Amino acid sequence: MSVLRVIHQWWLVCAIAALPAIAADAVSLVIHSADPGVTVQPADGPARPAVPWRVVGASERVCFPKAGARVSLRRSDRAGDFDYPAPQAGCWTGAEIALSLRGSEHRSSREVVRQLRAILGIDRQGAHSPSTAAARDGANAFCRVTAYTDWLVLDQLGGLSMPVTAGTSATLTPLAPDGTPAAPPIAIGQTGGEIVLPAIGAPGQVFQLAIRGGLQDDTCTLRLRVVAGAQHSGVAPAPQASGSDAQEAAWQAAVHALRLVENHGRAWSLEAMRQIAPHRAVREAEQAHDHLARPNRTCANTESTEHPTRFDAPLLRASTSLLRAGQRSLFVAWRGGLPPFRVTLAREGDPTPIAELSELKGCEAFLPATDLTAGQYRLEIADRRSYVFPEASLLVVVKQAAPPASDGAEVATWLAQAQWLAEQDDGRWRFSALQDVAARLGELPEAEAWIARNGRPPALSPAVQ
Amino acid sequence: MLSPVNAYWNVLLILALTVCVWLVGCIAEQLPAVVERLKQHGATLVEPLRQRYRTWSHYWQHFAVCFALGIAIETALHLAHGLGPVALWQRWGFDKTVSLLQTYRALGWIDREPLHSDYSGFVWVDIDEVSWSDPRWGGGEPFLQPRREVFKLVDRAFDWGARVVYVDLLLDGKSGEIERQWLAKLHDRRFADGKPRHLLAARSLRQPPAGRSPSNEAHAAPELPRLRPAFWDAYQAPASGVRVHPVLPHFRPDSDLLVRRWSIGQTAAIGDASRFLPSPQLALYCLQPGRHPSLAAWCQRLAETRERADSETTKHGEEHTDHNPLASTLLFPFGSQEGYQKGDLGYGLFPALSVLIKADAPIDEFRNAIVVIGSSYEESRDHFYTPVGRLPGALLNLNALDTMLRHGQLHELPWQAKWPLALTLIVLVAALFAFGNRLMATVIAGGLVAAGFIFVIGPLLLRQGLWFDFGAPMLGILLHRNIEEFIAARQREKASADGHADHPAH
Repeated sequence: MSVLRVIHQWWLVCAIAALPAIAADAVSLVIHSADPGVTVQPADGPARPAVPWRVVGASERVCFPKAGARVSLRRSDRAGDFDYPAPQAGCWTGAEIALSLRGSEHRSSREVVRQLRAILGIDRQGAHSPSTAAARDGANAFCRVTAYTDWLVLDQLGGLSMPVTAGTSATLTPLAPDGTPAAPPIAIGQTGGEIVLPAIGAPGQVFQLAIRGGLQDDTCTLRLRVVAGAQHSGVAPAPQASGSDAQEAAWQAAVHALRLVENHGRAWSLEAMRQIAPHRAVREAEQAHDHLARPNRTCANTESTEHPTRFDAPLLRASTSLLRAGQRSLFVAWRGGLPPFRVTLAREGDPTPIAELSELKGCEAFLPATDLTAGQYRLEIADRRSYVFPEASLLVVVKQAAPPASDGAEVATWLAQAQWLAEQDDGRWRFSALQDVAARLGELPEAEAWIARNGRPPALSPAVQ
Repeated sequence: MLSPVNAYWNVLLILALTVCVWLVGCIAEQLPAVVERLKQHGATLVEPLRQRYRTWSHYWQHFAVCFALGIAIETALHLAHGLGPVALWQRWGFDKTVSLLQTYRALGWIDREPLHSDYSGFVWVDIDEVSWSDPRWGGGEPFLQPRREVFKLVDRAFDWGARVVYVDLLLDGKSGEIERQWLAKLHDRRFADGKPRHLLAARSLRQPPAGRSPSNEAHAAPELPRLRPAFWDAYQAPASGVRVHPVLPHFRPDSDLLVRRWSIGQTAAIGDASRFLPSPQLALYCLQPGRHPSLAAWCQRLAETRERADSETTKHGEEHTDHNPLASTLLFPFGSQEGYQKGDLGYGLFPALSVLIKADAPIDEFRNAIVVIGSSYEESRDHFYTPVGRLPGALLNLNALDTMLRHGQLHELPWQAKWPLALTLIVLVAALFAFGNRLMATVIAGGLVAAGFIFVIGPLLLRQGLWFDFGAPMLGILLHRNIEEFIAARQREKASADGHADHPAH
């Protein structure tokens, strides 16, 4: 029996090493003890002291007056208490604290299997799977993209198909110039895991596409703008010579579509997919379509804060970033980390944020408009595990000093000026240059390209590098 | 004092023993002749087989012995099912499997599956030591459970979206103004979705006085235990609102004093009628539409109220348990937090105090949950020893509710699956020992058993509620090793006696 006992223990050790899976659902926390000054902030209502036996819901926040302040908690679904020391002064939701209990080594067995498949090369790379990209990723990809501009489609919507998850429904509503509905919404059914838009619309017309999925993250509203193909040279697909090889034509269409998004910005993703649609019978075109249907999955990681993309914000990579005072809606872009993200802007030394955005799925955001007066501010971008990237993020708002300006200020040299500004004083004005460029996002495709070059991974780079 | 009936029985017993002794004597006389005859017949039957056996290679001989041994063990186990040491061995195997599965699930190696119903999961509102001794709980360390606070917990649970609340606290007794007011409010409660909610209230029985037990009055009909009156009795359930169900939680210890089995319900006297009162797990099971036929019959009895008749009282007066012990056996998916070391509990655990003071926002886990309000403080004297350790009564109930809701009753693996599986295992183990190195065979067979526990027995029990006795291959391995060692020792002894001690037999 001793041999059996040894074998059994060995088996347990193997199992521990192979399948460490502890689910991390949003659960409540029960406070056992807390340092003085720690408070619980309900979703609606005044903050209350964190007293023993107080239950903290997943959406309630625990606020710490200083770094290192501790609270002893127990997850409602776990045995044993754990201490949560605040990495810095600020507030964290119950869900974020509960997740911090998971170390980076804790992965679900499904994730382990997925990674093993990826390592062994038996993942879906190269496979011609009948399931859609959305179905495989388990989400409606276009709902996970920060929408600061309209999605552009040439001439009409006909032929555009978007992969969605099972159970997703959609409605398409024509909009008047003032943004109000111009006609009753058109219900769009799901066919084979995709929604196919009807052949309607004329250049200049705007539509609202409401996608409603099973999960909260799969529900969103997109604005689609139909633009005239004749006015956008290089965007419309090249005409195909009659009798040309179907495979050759598909390759050319795929290359053109990928270049369209790479060169003109991801607002053209839907048009690129529309151009590829007739060629999807060819494997390479289907792969390109699949690739385009996941336009934002590469900006953040799925498993670890640092892999495969390091959690970083190159546009903030300076010892100090200078900004001019005034009413500003700051644009912030980063990469890596684990969504959802939280961005907070607070005065240095004051834990209460003056602008804050949370539950961000993408890697960029405009913060709410804030009146920035002279002084020092701290900008923090935290991911799901409350990991704040180590780059300095001190913003100094200066009252009088104008940023350095180059001689040429024509529109044609606008981007060059932004680039020049970004390189001045060891990058101190880079964040300020980003604000100038971001102000014209959606207006000029070059603005998106500049941001992509300087601080955001390209929209189409592969997920696993 | 010896009664006349007992005296007759004693005389009959002495006579029977005398006859038995005479018979044994006769058989003993004839025994040598019978043995000799059997030897002769056996030799004619066995000799051809033995000749054939000798023509086989050493490995195949070994395989045949192992295989025959495995079949013999499996058959013996099957025939001796539930008897003496075999039952102990099977019980041990079941306990270890259940205990291991609980540990694996706590560690997260086995994913917990969601309930196959509309319920989101289980929540235990625990009146723990801290809650019980806090002044906010009935002034601190109350002798009886403070009803006002218990009512508040029930109200909160329903406010926060609980579908079923089970109060595992005895609140029997007369009703006062507080109870009347609360029941009136409970009666007027309505829910946004228009669906009813269910409150399972633990009740207790007043047993008949010992002096009137049937052993002393052979011809008198035994009395039924009587349901103690409680303030719940005055409640008239509305069509869509909160329905109150009286339940009788009762568990049965085995001969080793560990609790593994539940009682499905009990018939009790209420006024002049008798009524079948279900266990909490049966009451919960009967709330769902899809039911197993064997349990559907019990569910049907819930609505019946019988006029008391002498012929019936004996039949239904005792606890109702199934003839098959496995059918009333609990799985123990949930353990107490003391034994888990930060593991996954599988249910939401909230101290009663935390629910009492949480007035500003609902606790999300209560939505669509089955909430059990029960105590774990030591002075409640509501603890049971189980195969997974000492559990508070509320947690034992939680395990019973989960087992019943997921599987109904546990069953043996059907013979169509059981025998092929056993045969495959026997062939595998026999081949391992016959053709492989003894150490390697033990290692691999041990691995097979471990893998079987995790990948065969675990999923079968967890997903289908089917139990397969995995002890046979282990017994086989043990027995085979012992036999081999015995033979080797015999050979060594023989060699030593022949004066060849320095050339031990292989």
